[in-house]
Amino acid sequence: MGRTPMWRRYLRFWGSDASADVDAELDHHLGELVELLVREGHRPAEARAEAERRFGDYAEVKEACVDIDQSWERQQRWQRLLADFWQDLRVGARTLAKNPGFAISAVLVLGLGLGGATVMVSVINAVFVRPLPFPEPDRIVSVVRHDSRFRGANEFHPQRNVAVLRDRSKAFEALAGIGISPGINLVSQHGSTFISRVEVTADYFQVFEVAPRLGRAFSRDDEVAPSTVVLSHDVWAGHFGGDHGIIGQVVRLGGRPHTVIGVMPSGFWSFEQADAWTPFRPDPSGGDQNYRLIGRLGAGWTPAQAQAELRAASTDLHADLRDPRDEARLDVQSYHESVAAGTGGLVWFLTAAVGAILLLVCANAAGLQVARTVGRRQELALRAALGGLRGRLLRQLLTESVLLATAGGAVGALAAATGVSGLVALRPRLAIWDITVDGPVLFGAVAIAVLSGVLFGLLPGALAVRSEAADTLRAGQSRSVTTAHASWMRRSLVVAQVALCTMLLVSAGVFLRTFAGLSTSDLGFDPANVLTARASLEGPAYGSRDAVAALYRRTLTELAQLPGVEAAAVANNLPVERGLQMLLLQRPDNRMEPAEADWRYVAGDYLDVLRIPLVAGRAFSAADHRAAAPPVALVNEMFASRFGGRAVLGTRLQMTAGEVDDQMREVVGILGDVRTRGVTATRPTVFVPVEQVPDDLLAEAHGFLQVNWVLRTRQGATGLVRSVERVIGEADPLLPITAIRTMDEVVGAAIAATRSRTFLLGLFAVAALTLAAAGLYGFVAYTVAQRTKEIGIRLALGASRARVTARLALQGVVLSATGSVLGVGAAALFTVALRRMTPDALPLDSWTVAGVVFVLGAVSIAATVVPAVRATQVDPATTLRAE
Amino acid sequence: MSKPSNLVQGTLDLLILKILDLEPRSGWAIGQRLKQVSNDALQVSDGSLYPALHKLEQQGWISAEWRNTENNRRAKIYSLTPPGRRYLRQEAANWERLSQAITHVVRLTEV
Repeated sequence: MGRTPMWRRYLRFWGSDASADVDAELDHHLGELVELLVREGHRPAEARAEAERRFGDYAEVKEACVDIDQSWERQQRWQRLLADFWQDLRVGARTLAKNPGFAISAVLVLGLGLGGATVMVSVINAVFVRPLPFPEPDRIVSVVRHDSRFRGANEFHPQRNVAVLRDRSKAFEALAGIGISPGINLVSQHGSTFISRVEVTADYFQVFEVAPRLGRAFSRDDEVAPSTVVLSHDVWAGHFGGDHGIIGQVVRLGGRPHTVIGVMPSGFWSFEQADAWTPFRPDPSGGDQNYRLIGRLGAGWTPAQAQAELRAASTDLHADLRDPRDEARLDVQSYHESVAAGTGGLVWFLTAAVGAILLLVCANAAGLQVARTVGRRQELALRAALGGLRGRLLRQLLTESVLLATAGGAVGALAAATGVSGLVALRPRLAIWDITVDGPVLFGAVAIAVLSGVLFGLLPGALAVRSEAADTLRAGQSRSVTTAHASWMRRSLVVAQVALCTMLLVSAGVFLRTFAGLSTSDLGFDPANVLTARASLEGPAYGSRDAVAALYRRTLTELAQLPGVEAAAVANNLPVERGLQMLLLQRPDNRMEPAEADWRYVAGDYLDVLRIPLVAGRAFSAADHRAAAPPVALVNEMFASRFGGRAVLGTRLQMTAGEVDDQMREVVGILGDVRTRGVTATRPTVFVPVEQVPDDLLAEAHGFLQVNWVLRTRQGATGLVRSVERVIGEADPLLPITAIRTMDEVVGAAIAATRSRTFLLGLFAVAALTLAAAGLYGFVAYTVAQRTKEIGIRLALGASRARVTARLALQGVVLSATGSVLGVGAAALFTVALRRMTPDALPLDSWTVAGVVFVLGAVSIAATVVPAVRATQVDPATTLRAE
Repeated sequence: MSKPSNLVQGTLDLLILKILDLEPRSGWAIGQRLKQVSNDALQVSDGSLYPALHKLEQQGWISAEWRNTENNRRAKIYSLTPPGRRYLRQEAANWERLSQAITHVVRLTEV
């Protein structure tokens, strides 16, 4: 067997030269042929010509051969690439499997981080970036009112604005007013239910340019005698069973007959999340401030032009400002922005978190990779020395990174899907945005992580491969003597990681503490053993206080006599739920500055049922619960503290809901504060006896909020739910009870609203802690383990184990301390920014900071000490000889 | 193009494989042997041999190696691969059956 000639070997590297090969082969043939012919007696010159003649068309033969060879060549190259890739994959998988700790932590870190980031970007994308699902959504705008009596922009207008502006303004194709209505009783031949109904002006659907699926939308005629209703697809498909004969049917809404004229298509996106829409005719002199104003800009109008036009047209419209120093103006802003703003706080927090988490993931991926690659320098150098090509080695590293990132991406996709559904479950309001896990976003997140992993895996790898293989091998154990550059990189990574983790954990800690402090705090009442039942009294049946008082009198008397019931009362809203927000027309201190307070009416033994303490003065007496009695009010401590404390007793106040005023009342008592904004906050509150409320204010209150029966029950009382339903049902068979819950459940629901944010934060905290701990531990432990050799030398030279360990631990402490300081600084800035957004947030506190710094410090010191101890346990001689 | 018209498709391949079954040869030697064994009955132009050889190499039936010949020329020497040998056996058997059948038919018509 002949030796393969040298030149042939090179072909492998440069790709063979098919043309030259074929030439050589055919030349050989011609040479032999010429020789034969010469032997047969031809003269050499003739022999050559004869050979070429016998051979045939040289060019044609050559071309055919070259073609065949080249196509083969290409095929072979592909096969080799595939085989190489497959080998890389197997080697990569084997390498990772050999180090399952690294592999699992890297995949989890990547997966959780990517999943979290993807959820957040998906939310941001759905809420802020994706256009609203309407034709030309950019032309849909909100008109907001800046009123000097309220802080910031106010989306709510007096009814008058709706009526006048839609006639005066030429900037809009359609300008519609939207009332607010939390719910109404729907009674039809299919039964009775409680739905959310929104009053809109006739042009509402034109603003969105969405036509009904069945029937028609409103016309201005519908406003005149408002007795028509358009249903949402959900209610039509649910309550009405998708009845196609629905159009023209008469249903009762809040007791009034309404004819169904239309059904909207499914997916008609409504920020109001309405089940039904009814028309109203805006009153040109109506002053009640409960209407939002949205419009579709006319062709060629910009929001700025429309704003200028509206302002010019509205100069005379601010007559509701009774004080000449108050002023108001109108702004036109994007509808998308104004509805997205409702989700704002949460989403901006998420945005900040995305960046932090992605950074953390990249830092971790990078840190782990750098540590690993530096640790593998010897292996890489050895493979390079054995003839491994640099490109091939780098490709191996790349394959491993891609393998990790792919696995991480799979975990991330799962985490993201779970996260999105969990988020929507926690925050039902987010459902309108139709948030889905974003494929491109997930891909982008994975790409970023892969990129950072690859970058940080390849850089040291490339250095290792490039450096003279023999040097690395000879220096061999040079693992102990890391270069200044590598060590700087390692240290800054540790510091950056500690800093990032500290910042995230401290910020999350502040949130958690804010919540924890509030949820366990005194609610101001006793929710145990209290049963509540809720219904809507909106509509003509309860248009007068006599009717309302009669209903309460009858039901409260019967309820109080039920076995197991100690006391019964009614309030137009429960603690931990919002009340009717009203302005003080007459302040107890007689000053003219505007002030707001919650207004709540009560019937029965309200204070006894909820065990709200009376702080000063007297509670309502039986005499107060009469229409003819002198008007009185109770205020809470917070209210009192704003108006002179106890001095508020005996003073007079009057409240107004815009157009509708309450009576002038005398303050007769001060109650303990009760949480009324969820479980987290209290507002100044005024309580009044229901019997003393004017009819129009009652209608106003019932339009906004449902009323609640509350019962104090004996421990272990059972069967009360059915009894309550029976008593109320007997008093009014047409009144649907919308919810019967224990007060504990009501409080729980209120907590849950806060909890969604807290849960997310907790999730961040846990994810951040996991990321931080896993990344930090893996990273630090790896770098210390690499110094095994150095430790061996120190021990051999006579250093004590304790001394060596202490030295390493000290270095760990210095690095984590530096990171902690930076992290706490960043967290302080973050907290300040946060407090500017949500005043309820607590400031940075030393306990949170101390806790976080302690935990992270412990992790990094453990990560330093454990491998160091392990290294010092080994006989120095073994350590030195190892490798 | 380079397929001799008087050869049945695939026959040249079969002949090449058969020749290589005995020993590895260069393209030149294969051509010479072909003339020799067929008593010059099969007239294959020298050039037409080569595309066939390259094709067979690509199919994996034969492999090639550059060696120095006895007169110290560098020649591309083809040899039969194990799959090529199996293929040859199978094709030879097929040829046997086919040619017998054809011979039989041809004789029938002569009678």
